[in-house]
Amino acid sequence: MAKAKRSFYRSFKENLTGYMFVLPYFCFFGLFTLYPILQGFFMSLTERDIFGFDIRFVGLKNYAQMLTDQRFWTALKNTASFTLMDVPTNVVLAILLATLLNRHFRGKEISLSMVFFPRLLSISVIAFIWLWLYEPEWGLLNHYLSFLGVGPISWLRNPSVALRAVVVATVWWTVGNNVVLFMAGMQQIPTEVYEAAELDGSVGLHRFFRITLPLLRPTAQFVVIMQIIASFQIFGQVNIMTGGGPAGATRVLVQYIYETGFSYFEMGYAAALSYILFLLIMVVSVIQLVWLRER
Amino acid sequence: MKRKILVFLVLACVLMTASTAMAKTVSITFRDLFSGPDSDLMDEMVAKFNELHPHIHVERQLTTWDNYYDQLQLAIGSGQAPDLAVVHTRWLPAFAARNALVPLDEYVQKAGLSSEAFIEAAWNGGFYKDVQYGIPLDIIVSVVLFYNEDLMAQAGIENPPTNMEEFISYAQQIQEKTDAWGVILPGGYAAYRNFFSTLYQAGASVVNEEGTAANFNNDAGRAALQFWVDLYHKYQVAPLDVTQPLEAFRLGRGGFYVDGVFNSPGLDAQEDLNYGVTTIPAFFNNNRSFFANSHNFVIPRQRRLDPEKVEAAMEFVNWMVRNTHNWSAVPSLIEVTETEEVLNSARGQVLEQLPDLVYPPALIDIGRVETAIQEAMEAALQGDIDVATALERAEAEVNSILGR
Repeated sequence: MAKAKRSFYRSFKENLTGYMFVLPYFCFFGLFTLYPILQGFFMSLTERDIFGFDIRFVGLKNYAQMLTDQRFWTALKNTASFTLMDVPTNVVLAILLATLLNRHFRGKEISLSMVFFPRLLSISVIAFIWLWLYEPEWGLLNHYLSFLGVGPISWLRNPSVALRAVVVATVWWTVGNNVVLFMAGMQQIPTEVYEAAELDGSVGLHRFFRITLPLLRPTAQFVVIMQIIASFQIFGQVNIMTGGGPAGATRVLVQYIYETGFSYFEMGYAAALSYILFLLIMVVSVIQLVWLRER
Repeated sequence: MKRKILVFLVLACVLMTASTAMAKTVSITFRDLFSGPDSDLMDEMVAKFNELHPHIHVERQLTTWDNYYDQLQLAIGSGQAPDLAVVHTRWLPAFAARNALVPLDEYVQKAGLSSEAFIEAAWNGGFYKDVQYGIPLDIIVSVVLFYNEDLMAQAGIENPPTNMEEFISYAQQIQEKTDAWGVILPGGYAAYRNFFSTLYQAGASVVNEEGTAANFNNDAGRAALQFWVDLYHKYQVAPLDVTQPLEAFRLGRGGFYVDGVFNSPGLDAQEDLNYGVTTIPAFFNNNRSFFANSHNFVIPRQRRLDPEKVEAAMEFVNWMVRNTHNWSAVPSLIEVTETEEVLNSARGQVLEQLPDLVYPPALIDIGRVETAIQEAMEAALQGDIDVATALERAEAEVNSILGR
């Protein structure tokens, strides 16, 4: 017993420098991440508003309340459909653009900048750009669609179209980020592999599907997970472009959490909703990691 | 001689100390949500007050209106509240019931503010359960009729409509004789305010007098909602899909626009737009009720309440309500509404309609109640469900919220 204690002490002493190096990070992590996470969980077990002058412990009541809260289920459904539309579109488009841009051609830098540029703008700017583009009567989108004999389409005021319209705006905003990641991944594939493949007669699409794509898997895995996490947390676009409407058709989870906390004064319930969102993201990420590792 | 000088010096010292003590200024922080031209006006008013009152210094803390309430709630919750803030009548009960505001009764009396001097409905909006928490600065006319004078002239219409029949037939005429829509209508919460106004015109209300049950799932409520649905689907004089309605009206795409009077600055920016503003028609029963709101001065709950600061804040409030001659909204003080500046401005036109103003009901869960009604209303306006189903759905949800 004494020996174990001494060896622990010794190893601690030996690694002291290392601990010291990570200490500043852990201080901030503890203060700004760990503490809020724990505090948030405690909050989710109470009935309170943001003022916090009257806090009642209610156990798991907030979590039980979700079962019968129609708005929560609709928000969950909307978030899931947004994720299911956003992630595949985003990833496929990013791989496609990365492949096109990962060659030597004149105007490569300009093209890459154009793809990446939207990412530099803040979400409110993006939302307002698309509000104008989506304007059904004089917006650019319907104007050009009318040449094709399509429309006019009610992009944001039609409940069955609005969420899809938000997806398009989001993909435009975020795809550049993923293009850069995929291009980095492509550049890490050793040229010898391609040369060997070429000798074996693999070119064009065959080469893309048999070599590029499989070797991109680590990058793709990373991009998909990050994209899913980001999609689950979608808020800004919805809040500005539709405010969750029409008739709640674009109210996503974070939007509902925000409304619950700040407009309905139900901070405890909002904390519980946040925890469910946290668990959802965690479960999906873990499943994905395990599944991809097994293969 | 030396002695005289000494006495003089001592006296001078005493006097100087006394005068610095007398000139000790009380600093108070004031947080509001005004933006654009309103913000500039507010800056001017605060600067003038500070100039005239050397013993008080009001420091204005600027917050943008779209996250004003989030920040105010956080500030109060963390004990960092400003000494004075602004809360709309709509949100005042929600804040007061949650102990976020300081009761003002004793300070109001001390400051010499009295109910008789104010427009009654505005004054009453500062109360929750018979305790005063707010003093109204103004009255915001949140639903008015904007009309495009050029389009009306093209359609041969002289005066803006005053009732439902005129409104519909004028809209149809504009649509027939010009390229524009008859009416442009806003969506979201602005649409709720419009529906709210017709609800009261038709004889219904959001909740009953006791605030215990919904009072709109009835003939009057159905007629009110049906009217807005019909504009889109039966008469087809309004576009359902417009996403930026104010812009649409600004660009001359519609003859009429129904929204809050605070949209005027955005319209004034368009030089070739000739428009007028008037109260909304009496769509029902010759009744011109409309949704109104007020900016109330409130003292947010402090970690430690400093009576000196509260008194300074009250002096500021007392001065502010008396100096709203050039403010953009209707003054809350009767005396100011009778001045030339107000009578000759656009606000003067609204004055005779003041008996028709209706404030949102004093409910602590106003946010949830309004969401329930707004969402059902939107589904009906889209044509997804009929009016009766929409109101039944909203009624059930509102009653369950009120019953909690």
